[in-house]
Amino acid sequence: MNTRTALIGAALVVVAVVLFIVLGGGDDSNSDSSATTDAGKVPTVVVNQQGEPVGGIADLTYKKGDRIHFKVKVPFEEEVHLHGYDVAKEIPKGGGTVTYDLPAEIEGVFEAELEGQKEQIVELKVEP
Amino acid sequence: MSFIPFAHALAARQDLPVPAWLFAWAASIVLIVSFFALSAAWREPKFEDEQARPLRERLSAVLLGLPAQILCGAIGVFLLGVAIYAGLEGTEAPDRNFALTFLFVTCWLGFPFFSAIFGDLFRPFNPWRAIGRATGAGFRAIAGQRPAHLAYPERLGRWPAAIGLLAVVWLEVIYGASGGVAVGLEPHACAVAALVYSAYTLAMMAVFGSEEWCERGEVFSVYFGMFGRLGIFGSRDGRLRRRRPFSAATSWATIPGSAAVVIASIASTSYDGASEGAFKDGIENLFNRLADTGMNLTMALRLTDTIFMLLCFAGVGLVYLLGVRGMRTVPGAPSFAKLRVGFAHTLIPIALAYLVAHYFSLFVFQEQAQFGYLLSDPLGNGTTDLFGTAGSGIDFKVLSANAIWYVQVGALVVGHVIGLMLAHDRALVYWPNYRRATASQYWMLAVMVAFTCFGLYLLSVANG
Repeated sequence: MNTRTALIGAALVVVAVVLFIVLGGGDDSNSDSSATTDAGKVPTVVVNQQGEPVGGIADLTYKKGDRIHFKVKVPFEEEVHLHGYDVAKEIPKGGGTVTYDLPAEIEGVFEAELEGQKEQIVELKVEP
Repeated sequence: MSFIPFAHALAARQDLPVPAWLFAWAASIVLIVSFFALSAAWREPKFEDEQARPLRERLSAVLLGLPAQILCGAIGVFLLGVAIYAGLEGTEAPDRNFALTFLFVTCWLGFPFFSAIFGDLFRPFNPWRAIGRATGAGFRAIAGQRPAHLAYPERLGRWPAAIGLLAVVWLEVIYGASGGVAVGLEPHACAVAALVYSAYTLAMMAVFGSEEWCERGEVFSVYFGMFGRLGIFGSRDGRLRRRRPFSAATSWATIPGSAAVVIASIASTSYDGASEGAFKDGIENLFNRLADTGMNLTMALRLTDTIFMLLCFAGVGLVYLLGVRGMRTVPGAPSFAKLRVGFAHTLIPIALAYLVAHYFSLFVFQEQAQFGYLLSDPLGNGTTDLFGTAGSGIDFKVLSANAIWYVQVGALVVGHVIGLMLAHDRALVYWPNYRRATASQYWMLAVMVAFTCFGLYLLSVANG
């Protein structure tokens, strides 16, 4: 191995170590959800008359084994569908609220949408 | 306005972003592996010779014989016909219609994945090639002579395939996602596109000949064939042969425009991944600016997405050309053009790694649908249950998030190592002096590290 290669190798290892320290030392948890998942407080997604979620698409994050628990309030007749978990709930004529309460068994990113409007209202993350 | 890429329309589940600690580990491994690859690599080219050994004559006769060719071609034509029919007559729900999953998952992802192991698997099943060859045979039988074809313009090379590749991805992830609706590309539009492409391909085959067009212009033949060059089986002189893995890739890029094909592959996968994460804010900003000018919203979104996809193509191409430009500074270097062509094949493993990293889980999940309810009910309207599986679903628990992360990161690291191996091997051909060959590879190492770390970054911010 010549000196040049050794120097470049050393530099690469230093960069690798720095990368590892900088990126690996942080906290993995994503807590930027727009809707909270605290115990005792069930997040509610409110849909307006235009069929859009007030405040934008709600981010809900759970750990595998937790219970997925949230409500959706819609002012008109609709079907709310949580994809992946494949749970659909009907909103009656005149509007109403439906509650999702199920175990977080499948890891990944899922969406809940208003089937009629084709509008995403929730992005649901289930982490390992 | 929600931005929902194509995969959302088919799969009800998206991958979690790769965690920071795994990103750090993988990036560190990439750098350290790269260093050892440079310092401990071999001194004589190993992959320039395929060292292909013919398989048993009887086996070759069965697998390459006319009956097998007719059977495989007929299967290809039949399945393309089913996909088009399902697209035209079936449900418009993309996840329930045979057409989208078959064309954009089973074929679009399956052929690259398996061809990279076994060699070009698409060629015998290529429906357009089968129709072209059958038509040619019919013409010969009637007219008593071979159909006359125009000479293919040499300079055009594989550019039609490169542009076609971008067009296919544009249709899949931009046209299909435009308007922010969750349905994505509609099966009817997909079927119409397949019909238009079939007419275009058959016309080009009539003009230039089936084999010539498949080698240079037919998008799927060129694209799948590129990955097939990594595989261990190939045929020559009517014999099936087993060759050294990756060795056939060394002669792939000699046709002009080949570099553009592999760059288009990396760029299009990058765009699809980045549009869900790294580019999300940028796309929304540009879209809002265009929408503020009064432009139609669908047009604004398509234009925004198209600009970002072309930027990806330009960016990936620029990084590669910078690496080539750097190698040119090493004493004894061949011309820039020769280097640009000569190292293009080293990006094929990177392109494959990007595909695996971004679509592996989609493939595993969606193939359950393909061989379950889509096979029994291709139209998706509940009228048939051919194999009794129409009521089946997708089990998302077959892959854990951890398993997906390790496959994604593993694919990128392995692709990086294979790319480095091929680049080092080619450098030994151009610079017989080992020290100069190694010096030239600092540049390609930088290119590979850039692509691999960018791929890892995309995974770490995807769906975040």
